[in-house]
Amino acid sequence: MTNASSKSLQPPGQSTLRVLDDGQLVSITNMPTTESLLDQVRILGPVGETLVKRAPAIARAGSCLGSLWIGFGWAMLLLGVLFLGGMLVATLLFNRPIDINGKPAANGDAALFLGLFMAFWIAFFGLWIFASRKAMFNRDRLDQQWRLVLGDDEWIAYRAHVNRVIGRVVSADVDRIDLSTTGRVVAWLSSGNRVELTGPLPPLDGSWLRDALLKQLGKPMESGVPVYPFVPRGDSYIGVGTILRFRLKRCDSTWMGLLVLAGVNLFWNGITGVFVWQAFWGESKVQWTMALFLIPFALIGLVLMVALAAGAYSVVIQSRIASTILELAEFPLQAGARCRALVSQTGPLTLRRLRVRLVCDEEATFGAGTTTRTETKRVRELEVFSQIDLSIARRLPFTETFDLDVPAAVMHSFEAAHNKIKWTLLVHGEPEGWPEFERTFPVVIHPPTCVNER
Amino acid sequence: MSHPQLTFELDQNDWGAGETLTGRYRLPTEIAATARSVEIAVSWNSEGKGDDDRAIQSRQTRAALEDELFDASGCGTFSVELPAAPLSYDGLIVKIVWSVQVRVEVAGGGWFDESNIFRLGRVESISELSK
Repeated sequence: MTNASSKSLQPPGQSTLRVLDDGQLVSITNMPTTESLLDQVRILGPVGETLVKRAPAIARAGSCLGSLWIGFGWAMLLLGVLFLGGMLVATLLFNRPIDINGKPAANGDAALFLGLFMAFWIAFFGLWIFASRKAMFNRDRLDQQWRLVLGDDEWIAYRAHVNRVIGRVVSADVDRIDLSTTGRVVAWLSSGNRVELTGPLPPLDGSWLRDALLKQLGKPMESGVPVYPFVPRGDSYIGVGTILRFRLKRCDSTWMGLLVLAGVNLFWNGITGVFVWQAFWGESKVQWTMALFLIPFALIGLVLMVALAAGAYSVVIQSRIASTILELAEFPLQAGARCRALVSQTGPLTLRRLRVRLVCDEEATFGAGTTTRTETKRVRELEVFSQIDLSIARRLPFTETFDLDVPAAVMHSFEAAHNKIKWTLLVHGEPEGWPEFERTFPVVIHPPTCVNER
Repeated sequence: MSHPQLTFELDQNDWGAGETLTGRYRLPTEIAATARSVEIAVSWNSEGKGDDDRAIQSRQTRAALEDELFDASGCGTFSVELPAAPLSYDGLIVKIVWSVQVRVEVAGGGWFDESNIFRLGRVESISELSK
């Protein structure tokens, strides 16, 4: 049915995809060629050359290490639950005594001690597994380079250099092909199952590959929003609007940050607290050497607590000001085009001024020594809406539509690995008797219509 | 090996998105006669504070056996369709610069290359605005 041929598959300009044809099978991959990799690491000399040559072995070792690392976390979690749980059961049900600080403890104290220790153990190794999956061994990161083998009947996507299968489908079972929110090309089967066919991809590559695969299957291609190279799609920025077509999503929710800060506080100050307690009250005499050693740890704990208090204050202030809604008639925005927009602020609230600004930030990421730094610079601010002296009642939100004119000469949204241009709509309020607030709604601006689109 | 004999110019320096960029290159006739291939590469790269990002829009290679690379006066022309994005940009910490590179390979394994930058689109210059 498919019989893919490399001639019918030609990635567009600026694509990172390559089509490989060994005469029998056609594959599509985003793995760079050895020559381009060597070119990138030329500055490292022979070390770089060795790294490139050993890339498959390094990838296999990394993949294996990931499984071992996460497996260790699960093993320790299970072991702790079995061991500490067993001791807890033995203490509570069979009155088996245990010693705490070298002295036999009463059943209640022992159960409390074991329960707290088990909770800490579960939290620690739960965090170990969660953080490993989210950061070090994140699936999107591991699947960053991949190859999709287009057989006559079956398509199989592999992680680069290792034979780990990302997804496998019988092409005849594919009902439709879509892009996921992380930019992966995914096949929906007639059974309703969803199979990933690639790792995360930039919008241009993803939409080209989706269309190329649909063409291979002889299925119609969707004519949606145009896709531009290095311009983000922004699908995650929008939801369904109630008055206009799209409702923008806020990206400045402080709750998540506060929860993370609370978790870090609990972890750091929990452990430090145990040692401080041991130093001052654990023995009959205060252990001054230990207390002195703990001073820097306690100071860090204090800074964390101040940060948590400041974060909590900010969240309380923000939550006292009711919701702000921004809706757009069109998304993405386009340079040189006008779009109908709506701003709504719920009360009760008395505002000296409510403003909506369209702002542009440049973001550059660069290596500084052994670390990576990101610098952001605001380069453009356009006021698109302003209203003064507002008195908003509880059940009567202030709602106003306005024309949002995006100038033709502004730079469009841009997203490459190290450089970004981000556009945002900021709603800024100046309430009576309260600190000012600002709510952030990211948007995408497309370049103006070009000659071959007119 | 790089020699000054290869001259190369674009028909204009400012191009609109989606337009067809055109230009010409020239070599002394005696060297042009020995040309084996001409490669035209159109690409962009970032400049500024961030680490380098780059992408190649197109790379055309014309071989002497299949194509006429130079006319009798040692001059050749090329045309490349330009994309809709990213547009040239002169920001404060992010800049996007488009360029065309012409590379001529001659008999004996030598080559000549030359590159020219051009502007894609008409985006305002932030560094000019901030002055």
